[in-house]
Amino acid sequence: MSVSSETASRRPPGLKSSGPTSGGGGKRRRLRVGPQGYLLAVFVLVALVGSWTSEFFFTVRNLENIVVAASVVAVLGVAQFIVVVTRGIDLSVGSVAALSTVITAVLLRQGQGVLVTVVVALLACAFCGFINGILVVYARIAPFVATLAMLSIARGVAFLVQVGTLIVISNRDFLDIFGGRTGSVPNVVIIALIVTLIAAFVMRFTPLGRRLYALGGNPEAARLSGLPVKRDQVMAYTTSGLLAGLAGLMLAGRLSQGSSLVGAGYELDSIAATVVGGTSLFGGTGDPISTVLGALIIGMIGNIMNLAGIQSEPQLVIRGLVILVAVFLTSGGGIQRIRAGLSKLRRGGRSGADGGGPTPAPAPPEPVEAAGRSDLSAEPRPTPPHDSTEGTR
Amino acid sequence: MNASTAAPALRAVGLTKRYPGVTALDGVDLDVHAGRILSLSGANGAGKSTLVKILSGAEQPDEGRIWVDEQEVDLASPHAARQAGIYTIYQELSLVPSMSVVENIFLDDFASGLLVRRSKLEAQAEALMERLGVDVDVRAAVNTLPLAKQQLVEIAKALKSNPRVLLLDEPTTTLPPRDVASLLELMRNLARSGVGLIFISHRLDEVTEVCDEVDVLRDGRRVGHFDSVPAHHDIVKAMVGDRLENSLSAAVVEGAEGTLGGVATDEVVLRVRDLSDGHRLSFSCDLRRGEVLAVTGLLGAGQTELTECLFGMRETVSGTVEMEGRKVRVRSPREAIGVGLGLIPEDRKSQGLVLDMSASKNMTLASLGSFTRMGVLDHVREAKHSRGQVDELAIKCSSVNQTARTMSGGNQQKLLLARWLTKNSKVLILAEPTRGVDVAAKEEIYRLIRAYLRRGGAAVVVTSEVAEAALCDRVMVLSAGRVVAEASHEEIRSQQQDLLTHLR
Repeated sequence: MSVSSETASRRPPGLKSSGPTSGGGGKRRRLRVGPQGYLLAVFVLVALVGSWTSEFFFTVRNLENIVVAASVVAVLGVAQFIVVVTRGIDLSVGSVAALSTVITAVLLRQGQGVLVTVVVALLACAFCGFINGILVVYARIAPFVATLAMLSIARGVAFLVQVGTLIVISNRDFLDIFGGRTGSVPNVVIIALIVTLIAAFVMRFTPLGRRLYALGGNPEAARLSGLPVKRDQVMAYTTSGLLAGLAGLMLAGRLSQGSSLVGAGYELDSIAATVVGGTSLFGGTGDPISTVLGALIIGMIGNIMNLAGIQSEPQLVIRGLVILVAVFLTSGGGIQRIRAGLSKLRRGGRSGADGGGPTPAPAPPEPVEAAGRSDLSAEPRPTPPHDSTEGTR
Repeated sequence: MNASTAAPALRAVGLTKRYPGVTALDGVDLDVHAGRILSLSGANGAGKSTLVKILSGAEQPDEGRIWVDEQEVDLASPHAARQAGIYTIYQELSLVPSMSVVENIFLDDFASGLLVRRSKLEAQAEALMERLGVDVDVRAAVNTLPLAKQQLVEIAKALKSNPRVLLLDEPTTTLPPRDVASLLELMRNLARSGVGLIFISHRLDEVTEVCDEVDVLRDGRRVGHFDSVPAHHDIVKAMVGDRLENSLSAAVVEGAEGTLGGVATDEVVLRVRDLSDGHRLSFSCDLRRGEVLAVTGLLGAGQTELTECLFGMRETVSGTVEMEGRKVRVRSPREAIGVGLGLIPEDRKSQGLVLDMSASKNMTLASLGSFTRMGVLDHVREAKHSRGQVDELAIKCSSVNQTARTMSGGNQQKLLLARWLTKNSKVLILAEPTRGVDVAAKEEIYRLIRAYLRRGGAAVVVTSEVAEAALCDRVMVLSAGRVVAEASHEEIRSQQQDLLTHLR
């Protein structure tokens, strides 16, 4: 008996979500779910375009290509997300990843163990992020500028450290960990997955995550609620640096080399993944999983264009356009705005037709109406005193 | 009689404006006649500011039509409103401080045209200022002029385009009394020259002194229209309605008897001595458990500085603060909250709430630590607590997951109160707690403050409404950062006039 009543009470939400019914409430609910719904729709749409473009798209090998390539961008995207959610931006993620590959290659060449190498590389990158955070929070330098400087510095340091063009990595253990597979799954994919899940958990289930959303949503309110906003902000940039370092390790494992030249342009890819994932650059919204979906969408688009044999220059143009459309739909409130625009047009058209009609004169207001009227004071009530004009509308 | 039988300069019919969760205006009609001054009265949140926004073209009504001189107009933008002949002067002036009087007056004209004949414009500006009866160097930068004269520049700017209707939104709030008198005189002159005026002020004596007609708004509706100047009492009655007569809100509007506190004990919770920010502020007080202390003063008398120093938002250079007999240091809001203070800021949207977060998350924001289990947020306990607060404070929301942005002003205010109740704060600082909320919500907020005091809390209410201050156990009047007068609740009644003189 109790079971049946429970299922009965659970049914209404299920019914509501099953279809946009005619009620106003249903409509509002659908709009509220919006961004993530549209993100999934875009994801599926791109996949459909892919399968339609080439029969190779849905082969295991191709899908693996996409996922492996996207996993680095996904980790960088999560790094970017953690900063963007606080209203910041981290332009240095690509450079810091490059620095990570160089440090790794140098240490491995010196014969250091894998553990030491990984720890040193990650710490160095976290330190870069920490500096970013200090510059933003205490030196009050705009995030864009502070991390732009770090972009330049980190790549320069990487170049100085490597002395030469690139350093080949031949340490088998390292390559097994970051370039190998567990079972049939590439390790980089597993790493990206773990990073995503941890980030998603932190953002949703820990006070830190809640604080970061609050910080991005309204820094002043967060501060006046006693949240440690400065510490949290530094924390966000440090984490971003750490994850960029991890992405660098993944790159080093995949390319078997350390070079100051890798990862150029990844800062923009990571930002694109974040915004395509529905995160507002004004902070306070979004989630890591959507960001990773964004990274996958961008990865798929590139892959499809490769399969279609499109030259790399047109690819850039198309990719830019697709990103714009995706962002417009997910975080720009595109659908609502198109809808509002259409209804405004329709309304404007109608009132225009009214004005252009054969009897354009609006009923002249009855002026005598209000004269000598002071009865309302005795009996305050919401009756509109202009009953006659009411009729003319 | 003559004036009101002629067609009105401005007529609005059935103006309706809905925001998510609240109908700000509900079918309001309005007539402004040339040569007459109409007062728009109403308590905070009655819909005055929404009406102003619509008439100035800043926002569009959902329903309703507007005519200027029997010509229907569409006030699609502030520019369109001015084109139609409706010119609005806001409390916050829209002048470019570093530019000269001439440049400011003709700023709109610089949008087109290549060359400017400076001498010609200066002559025109001087003529305008003369018409206003003001002696001012039109070449002087606006920020070198006193506030009252800046306001006149703003009015000159309006007159340049020969408006049919001039809307003055709380122009007297920030003026000293002498300038208020001359502004009212100027308004009468303008009316005589054939302009229709809408005047908004929460000082009833100004309304009855200068206006020819009075419209009263309440809860977004026009609930009263007076063709001739009514008695204060009649305006107040229309403003608060039958339901709230003899309530605290009515007392606030009318300046009648009423008290928010009355449960003060002898135990001092908060003791402040010579708190100073190194500039003007110097403040001392003893706040007892269960007591509500009001700090009032003119705009800019130091209330903001005081609030910020108490709550650690502004650096203090000297002075001591004791909580429950223990000396504490408050160097940041975090430390202030740590010692048991809570702040309900003046601007709850920009300083209080994270608008895109749910009601529940906003309530628990200051006490996340008590909703964790082994470092992980306990969403179930959080939701349960939030529902408890919603019931206790009678917060109107569809669920605790409703985003704060879509809630009404009064309910948003309650969310902030819930935040500090959740935190168990011992002393609340409330900055303008009832600004921008409707009368019913105002009453509700008073009720909550009362309940908070009875539970053993103490409160400092920083308010610019003298009558609201008069509800408290004790009133301190600030002027230039110092307490210039202090009265207990019993003394307030007899001394309210004195307090007012300190204010002005």
